[in-house]
Amino acid sequence: MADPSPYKSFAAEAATDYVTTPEVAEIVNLAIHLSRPLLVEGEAGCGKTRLAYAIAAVLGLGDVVAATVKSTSQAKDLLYRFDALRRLQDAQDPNNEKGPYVYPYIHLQPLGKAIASGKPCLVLIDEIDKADIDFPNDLLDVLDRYEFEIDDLPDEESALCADDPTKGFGRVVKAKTGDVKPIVVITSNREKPLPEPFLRRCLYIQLTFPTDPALLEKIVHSNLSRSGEQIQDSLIHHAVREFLAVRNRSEEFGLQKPPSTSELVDWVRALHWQQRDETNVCASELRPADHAILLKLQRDLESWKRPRDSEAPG
Amino acid sequence: MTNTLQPASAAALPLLGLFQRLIDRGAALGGRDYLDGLRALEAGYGGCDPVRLRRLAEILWARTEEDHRTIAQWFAAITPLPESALTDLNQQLRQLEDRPRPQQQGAQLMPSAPGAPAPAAANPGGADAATPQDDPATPRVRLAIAPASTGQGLGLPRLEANPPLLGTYGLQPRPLLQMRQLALLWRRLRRNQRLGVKQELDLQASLRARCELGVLLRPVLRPCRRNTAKLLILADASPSMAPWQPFLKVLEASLAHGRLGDAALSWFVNVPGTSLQVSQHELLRRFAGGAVLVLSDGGSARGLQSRRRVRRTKAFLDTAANWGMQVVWINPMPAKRWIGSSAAQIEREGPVLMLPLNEENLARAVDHLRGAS
Repeated sequence: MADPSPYKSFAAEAATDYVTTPEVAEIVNLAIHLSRPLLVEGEAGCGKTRLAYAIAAVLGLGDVVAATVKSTSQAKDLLYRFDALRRLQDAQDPNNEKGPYVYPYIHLQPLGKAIASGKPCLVLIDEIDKADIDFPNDLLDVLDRYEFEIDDLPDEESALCADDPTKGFGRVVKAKTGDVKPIVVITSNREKPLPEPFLRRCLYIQLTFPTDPALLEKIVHSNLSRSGEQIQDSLIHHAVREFLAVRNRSEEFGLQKPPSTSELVDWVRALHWQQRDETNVCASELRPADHAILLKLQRDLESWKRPRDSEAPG
Repeated sequence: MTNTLQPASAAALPLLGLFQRLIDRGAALGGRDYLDGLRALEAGYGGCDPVRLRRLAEILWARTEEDHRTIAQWFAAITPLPESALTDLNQQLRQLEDRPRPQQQGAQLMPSAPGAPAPAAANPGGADAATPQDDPATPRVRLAIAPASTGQGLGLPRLEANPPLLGTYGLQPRPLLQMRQLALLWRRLRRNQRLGVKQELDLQASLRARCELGVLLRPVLRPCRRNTAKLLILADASPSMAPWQPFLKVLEASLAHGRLGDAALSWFVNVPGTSLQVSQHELLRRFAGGAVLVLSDGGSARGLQSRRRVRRTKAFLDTAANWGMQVVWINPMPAKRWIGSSAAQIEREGPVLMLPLNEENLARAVDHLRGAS
């Protein structure tokens, strides 16, 4: 008999402002059921981060505990932080009672807090590929056992720290029996390859750009409804088809960063603000403003313009 | 009491045959991955529908193209499951265990009695479920290497029979070593010095200042430690090195992750130091006192011997030594192929530490470059 999951099931159709497929929803549910991290990859702007927020919204988990990874990030930064400088400053004050101890200066960070709390929540580790190649492997053990050790906390202060109502954790931080493990969603733009053991540990979703115009229209509608904007269906319908033409030509020209769903939504908004309609929106006659929204790299822009020049009559 | 890993009872474990095949083909899966599969099945994922079951296997266990291909082949060897089979799975599993191993793939996939459901489909995890590769009737392809006498050049692989094109083969080039392994190797080359802007808290100095003055006006800072180790890789771009080009590309890319003070890969043809991009003097000046890793077959791939090449290589090695460089030569050919070629002479007359290319020797080379041996 399977243990009842503390989380609800993620249904694709239940996401109000995010369009996804039943296949993606199945992988999400598997990851939740097996307590395995979910690695989401896909081209920039295809909705990787938004998927995490959609899961949290559908499952009623409240705010997403987000940690954005930087090139200098270490796995430890997601777990805890030791404020050594503040401790040094406090240690100068003979009246400060905290100074001689280390534990007041240990602060749990997003993943550490989520593990220690033992309550249902979603932790988003965004753009893991920005970090050093050691980062994912250092996280592997933590994501496997949902447990970690605070190296900076001396053993003799572990009990003190656990008894402190503002801290409540010891040198070894782990969920208590019966506690809930957090849902961990990790996104990557694949700028760096991730180590195989890490890939094996995660369940994997590759978000691809949808080529079905109806699905794209649904995505646009879903995004616009979130911001409460009212845009004519006919404009969205036409823009989506022209956008697909732009996308096809992008692949034909070998553009490094073809426009994705986020660019499509921005473009539809821009077309609405510019009060343009079906008659003056055409993939083969993009305006400079369209270029600015759809083509993000100078190299891609030059590549896009080059064949257009040669197509000129005469 | 039965051992679940015994073949008889292994058939009762769903997808175990597939799981074992994935492991046999190099997938880094562990027992916990299989248990996760069981938990998922128990929770209703995958069901007994082969399509859903295959999808579940892909979600849980497939991370590479090869994994996907293995799973596809495994499921392709199974006939679709009749709906009626779902009603009595355990009985079918017992039938499967009692039945002798079939001789042909078609016979193996047929139900044991007319109208009866196919047991293999009901439990595709049966360890003895056959695939086209297991069928003795399927012609096998053997890859043979043409014999080459010592020092007489690289043997050319030849096929002894045409391959049976049973499916699509996506051949993925694989580096000898992963970028991560190489990056970790370079990180062992360390020569730490405190250089640059003072931004790191010097706790000892701060406490000393506090004790001496009675008050600490500001924390004492010091520059961070930085690795100043330099590594120059000289890679041979000669045609005889063409088979190792993918590895050299990974090697070059891995330098960026090595946290070295300065690192570069420079191409040469036949004689190291005769750079295709920059002058030898410029290279030597930039990497003076650093480590040099030469990657070249030294003529051993084709069994060539050239006194001129040996003389010029020795001149370069002498010059590098004068600039305080440690040099190790990695030869991608096995040591017995060096005999009678320029490589053996370079090793002897250089003299230079020349090692055949493999992970262990690369680690040994790095140890030598850092002065540990």
